Amino acid sequence: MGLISNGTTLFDAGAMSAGLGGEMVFIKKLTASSSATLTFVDGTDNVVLDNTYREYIFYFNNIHHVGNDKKFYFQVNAAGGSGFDETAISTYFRAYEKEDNSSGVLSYETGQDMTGTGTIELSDSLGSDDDQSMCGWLKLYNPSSTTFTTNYVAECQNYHAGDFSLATKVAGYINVTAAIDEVKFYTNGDSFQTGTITMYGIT
Amino acid sequence: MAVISNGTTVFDAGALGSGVPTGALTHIKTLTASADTATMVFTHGTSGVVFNNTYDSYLFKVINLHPENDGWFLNVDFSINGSDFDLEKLSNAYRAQQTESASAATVAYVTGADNANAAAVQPISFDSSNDDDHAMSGELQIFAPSDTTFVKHYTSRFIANGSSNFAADYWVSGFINTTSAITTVKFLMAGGDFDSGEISLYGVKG
Repeated sequence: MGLISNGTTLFDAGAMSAGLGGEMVFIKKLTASSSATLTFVDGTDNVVLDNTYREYIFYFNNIHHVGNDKKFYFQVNAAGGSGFDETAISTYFRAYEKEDNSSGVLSYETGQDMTGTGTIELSDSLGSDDDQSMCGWLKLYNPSSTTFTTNYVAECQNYHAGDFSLATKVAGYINVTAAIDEVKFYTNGDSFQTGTITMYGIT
Repeated sequence: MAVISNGTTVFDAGALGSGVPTGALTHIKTLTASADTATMVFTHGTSGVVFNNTYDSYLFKVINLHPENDGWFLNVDFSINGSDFDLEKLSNAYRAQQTESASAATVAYVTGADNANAAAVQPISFDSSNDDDHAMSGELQIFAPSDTTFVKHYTSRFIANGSSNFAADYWVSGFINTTSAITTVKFLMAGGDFDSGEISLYGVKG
């Protein structure tokens, strides 16, 4: 039964109409527990990653690694694809400062950007000390487009294994014109001990 | 029909009651470009656009904007009366880039995209490609545009396919050097028109 007021459908089929509850719509939260990967797949476990939204945001909250000095990656699959090895062109620059105030730096990192089908790095050298973690976000623009490549931007703030504050800024595009419907977050060895990744759609 | 719960109007006249808490990001208006769209303009009070002191800041989300011509800046400009776009701006601009051939990775300040109290347009994406599968996406946020005490600050970040097949990450921040209320925001290419794409305006509650 729908609930209609003054000609406007407010609720129908168990859901609130678009826009009434805010434009940033919660989709799915994954919680790490010694997890090697955290993966969002359209149509699985209530994940929506299609043309329902024009923009998707993933928030990383206190990602804490089992091992020390590990990287934080993502990759995607185009619809029908597997292997998380789509071609991407990705920029990567960073700023950091050590706890002893010895080295404030802003630099582009040619070893951590990407051109090809490999991992797309978002952050580096995650510390495994009890109080060390990484937070940030990734935005995908219109991933269901079959006309344009899929643009993305990301920012991460990390308590680096070398005991410094590391900010990384990443942007690029998935260089295919197929719809992207799977996103995987992972690392270069062992697993995420704790932390969450939450996915939202923007109406 | 109104829905009233415990004395609070939850819904009435097709809308949520004003006392019902909602999300802090409110969609206001989406403009869609088609072939030969020269400008995309948001003016307070026109076509459902709200751009005043209703929200603390305003966020423009640009999705897959595709230009007619290759190699031009995407610009934004502002007006206090809807017709004169001659406000001075003081801004900084920098970008990171990487080519598809991995031959020119860098992060650098872009002197041609900043403004030093000039009444010029503000570039927000600097080298746009018109290849069929290329487009630019990003965000521009403007803080307290109707304030009449302070200048108007803005920040932006865009990702674009550069005209020479590179990923370009563009960052701009600055302020419009006026204490008058801004009422109009206009997007335009430095050369040629838009062919397709969307720009959506959102209000951000404080």
